[in-house]
Order: sequence, then structure tokens, then C-alpha cells
Amino acid sequence: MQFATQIKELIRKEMLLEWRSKYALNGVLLYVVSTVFVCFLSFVSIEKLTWNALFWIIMLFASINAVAKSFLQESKGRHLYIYTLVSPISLIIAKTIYNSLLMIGLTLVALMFYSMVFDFPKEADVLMYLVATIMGSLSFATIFTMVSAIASKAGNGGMLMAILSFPIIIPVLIVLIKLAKNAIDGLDRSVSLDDVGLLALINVMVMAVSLLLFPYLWRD
Amino acid sequence: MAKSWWKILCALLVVYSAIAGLYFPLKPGVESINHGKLNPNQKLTVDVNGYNTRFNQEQNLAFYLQDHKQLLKADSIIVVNASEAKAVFVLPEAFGSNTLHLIGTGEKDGLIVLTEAIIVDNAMVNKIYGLRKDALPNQNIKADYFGFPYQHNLYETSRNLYFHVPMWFGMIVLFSISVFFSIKSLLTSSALDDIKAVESVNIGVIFGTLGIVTGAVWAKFTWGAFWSFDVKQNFAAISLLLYFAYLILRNAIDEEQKRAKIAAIYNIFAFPMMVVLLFVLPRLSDSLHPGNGGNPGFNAYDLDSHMRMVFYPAVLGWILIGYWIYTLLVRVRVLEQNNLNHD
Repeated sequence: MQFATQIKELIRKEMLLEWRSKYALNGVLLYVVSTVFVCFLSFVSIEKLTWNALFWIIMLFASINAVAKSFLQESKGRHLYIYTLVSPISLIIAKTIYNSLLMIGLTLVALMFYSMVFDFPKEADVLMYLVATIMGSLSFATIFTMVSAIASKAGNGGMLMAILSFPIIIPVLIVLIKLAKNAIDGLDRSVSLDDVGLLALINVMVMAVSLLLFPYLWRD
Repeated sequence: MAKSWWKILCALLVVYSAIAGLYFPLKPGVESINHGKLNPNQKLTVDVNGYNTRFNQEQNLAFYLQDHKQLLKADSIIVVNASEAKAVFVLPEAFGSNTLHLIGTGEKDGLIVLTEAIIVDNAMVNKIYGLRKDALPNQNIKADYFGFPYQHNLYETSRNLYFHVPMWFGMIVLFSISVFFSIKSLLTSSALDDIKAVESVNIGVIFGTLGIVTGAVWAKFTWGAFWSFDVKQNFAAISLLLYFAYLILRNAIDEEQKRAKIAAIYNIFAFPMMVVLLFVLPRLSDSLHPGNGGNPGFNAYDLDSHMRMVFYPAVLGWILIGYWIYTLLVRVRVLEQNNLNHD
């Protein structure tokens, strides 16, 4: 199979599986919605600074749960079958693309519900905030996909995933929160360009390292 | 013996830097001043509290007030004891800036300065005016003994520079060794490379912890709390978490070859993140550390030649000590492994 067709078929397979069971998507959506609601019941109304921080904390935990399943939940037999068919590079690219799409969808739905419950701050730069959420979803997807691959190989599910991914995600999260805060304060867009660039750079770096390392991880 | 010359060297360097760093006194400086109200054309008495000064032994002690450019010499000086003196100034009509620096000169103590010592009310500031044009005496500006520069607020804790900073240099070098051997172990899948990678992390983590502890103690004395919300402090802690996660990941896997491979992959994956944490992100925001957020760096003018004579040997010595401990740990682990194979 060609490289591009491999990736396309793998993404199609992921979507098909998801569509059949609808377990992960609905589960994570319900997770986000209930967390937002619990936060609403305990906070009722919040300041701008907390608004932003709370959103990213909810997204952090939701995305760990959403992306962790990408490698952890595949059965051993299906793994082996896929490995005989496709190259490791196309597998990691397909998983990352699928997780990115999933994360972008999830984050947008979460943001919609979140700003419905807690009012979106006035004078905020909505477009810039959307850019920040999309950059955030991409970073979460790239980093968590690789970490979940590592954690699944170690064969010790959820806890290891959290321990391994938190120190890696914190620098990204700090830049993200700063970028999102700039957007909420309605600052001029030129102020945030550096942060967008830095996030893009970190994403490219993580992606490059993942592509280099995954073939080694893949061989058992 | 010929092979281990560097071990003798690093032991000597560390012992030298520890002794020299603690033994030599600080140079004199102005610790604090007290003064009354500033009135135009009136006398102002300034009580000067010196640190390590010898006011009572000075022949030509003189004090000056300095606005943005010009100098006003004290008319009379009463020396109380070695570290206390009263300087009486006759104030001009107005000053040229809002803050005045206090400068003292003497034959033994050289030039001592307290920057922004006196704040002037706006009523007495006139940018056109300035002080009288007195000139500093043309004499040696350095103290007549070997000592480290006096740092306001830091006092004797500036000696911590020879212990706190070398820890980070040591940690970075050890983690770099670790990532090098992780890459190598992925390519060769040799057990020895894996042992080297994990043992350098083991000792690197200890260096990092020592760096955090020495930093926290230093912060308590200068910033007022063991943990301030300082980017470098936070990121150093997070990068340590990365390597603790690496060690825990190793514990989670029993099978040796699998453990070597997966741990190596995580190590290589984490290393660029540590570089971002320690070298990129702190540059983007303010820190209380010297050299950030408008604070002067140690290199700018504080790290004088006397400090360098202790600081550079300390850095080299501690890096080599770290490397030495790492080689010892590797040898112990290899011997243990051989024993297991024989049993």
C-alpha cells in the first residue's frame, strides 16, 4: 500500500470503530459536560483569570482520557494484525491526525458548553481564543499520542500515563494559558504571535521526535 | 594513576572552591543609612552603617551624594567606630534627580556605594539644577585585601554561588550523558549502555535536588521565602519531575530488554522538553534570578575577577565529581550484574 493510502485507511478505520461503538466519544463528551457542570455548581460565577485556568484544567484531564485510549485500548491481536500490514510511521501519523481531529472537536464542544454555563468574558478576542484552543488541542494530541504509546508498551495503564505526560505537558500548558489569557484580555494580536510560534515549534519538535522514536517502540 | 589524574584534579578543585569560597571575607560596602528630612540649603546628617568597613582606620575618608551626574561632597565627617560614621552635607537648592546614591571613599576600603540611598521629594527636584561639581579623589578604588564583592541584600549568602550554580551545570551534563547513552542503547540494544543511561540520571537527579535545596535556602534569605513564584524555580522542579517519571517508568516494567527500550524512548522524548523548560521558557518571562526581568546578572558587573577565580574551578570540579560518581555507579551495577549471571 502507498504511504498516503495507509494513513487514510488507518484514519478511516479509527473513525469507523469509533462510529460503531460511540463509546469513547460520548464518554469523553459526557465527562467534559459533567465536569463543567460540577465546576458551575461549586463556583457559580468566576473571574476572568479563573475562567481561563479552569477551562484548561478541565481540558487537560478530558484530553488525557480521550487520547489515552488510542493505544491502551487496542487488543493485542488487532495490534499484531495492523503491524503486519502497515509501516510504523504511517501508524503514528494516522493516530496523531485522528487524535488531533478528535481533540479539536472535543475542545470546541467543551468551549461552547463552558461559555454557555460561565459567560464568555466581555472584551475578549474570540477568534484569538479559538486559535489558542485549536493550538492547544493539537499540542495535547501530539504529546499524549506518543506518551500513550509508551505507557501502553509498559503495560500499566492509566496512572503511568498521567505520571509520564504531566511533566511534558506543563510547559505547553503554561504557554497555552498565557496565550489564552492574552486573548481573553483582548490584547493586540501581535502580542500573542510569539506564543503561537513557540507552540507551533514545540508541536513540530514533538512530532519529529515521535516519528523518529515510534519505529523503535513498535518492534516488540 | 596516570588514568585517574582528573579524579585528583576534581577533588582538589572542589575542596579548593569550598575552602576559598567560605574563607575569604567580603569587601566593604554600605549596609544601610539613616537620615533626617531634606530641606533646601540646610544641613543634612546621614548616619552610614558600613559592612566590613574600617572607618576608624581611614586617613582620607570622604562621603559623596550623587544625583544623575554630579557629586556633592560631605562637609564634615564624624567617625563613631569601624562600621558607623556620620556625614554632614550642606544641601543645595535642588537636586537633578529623584534618587541619590551614596558614595564613600577611603584609602583602605576603596570605593563603597549604596545605590538609590536617598529618595528626594519632587518639590526638591529640578532637572536644570544639579549638585556642585565635586570630583572623586584620584586614588585606588579597590579594597586593599583579597575579598569577594559586597552585594546589597545578599551579604555573606553570595558565597552560595559556588555551590548552587555548579549543581545545575552538573545536572545538565549528566542528563546529556544519559540521553547520549539512551540513543546509543536504542541503536545497539546493549545492556551496558542502558546501565550508563540510568545511572547518570540517578546521580543527575541528586544534583538537581541539591540545586533546588541550595536555591531554596538562598531564596529564604534574599527573597524572603523558600519558594517564591519564580519561573526558574518552578521549571527546575518540573524538569526534575520528568526524570522522576523516567525512573518510575523503569520500575513499572519487569522485562529487562523491554525496559531498556521503552525507558530510552521516554528519555529521548523528554530531553527536548527539558531543554525548552530550562533554556527557552525562562527567557520569555521575568524571574527573580540575576540576569532576568531587569535584575542585573552575576556576569554584568557583580561577578568580578575574584569571584571568577573560585566560581569557574567550582563548576569544573562539581561536573567532574558528578561524572566520577556516575562511573562508580556504573561499575557497581556491572559487577552486580556479573554476580547475578554467575549464581
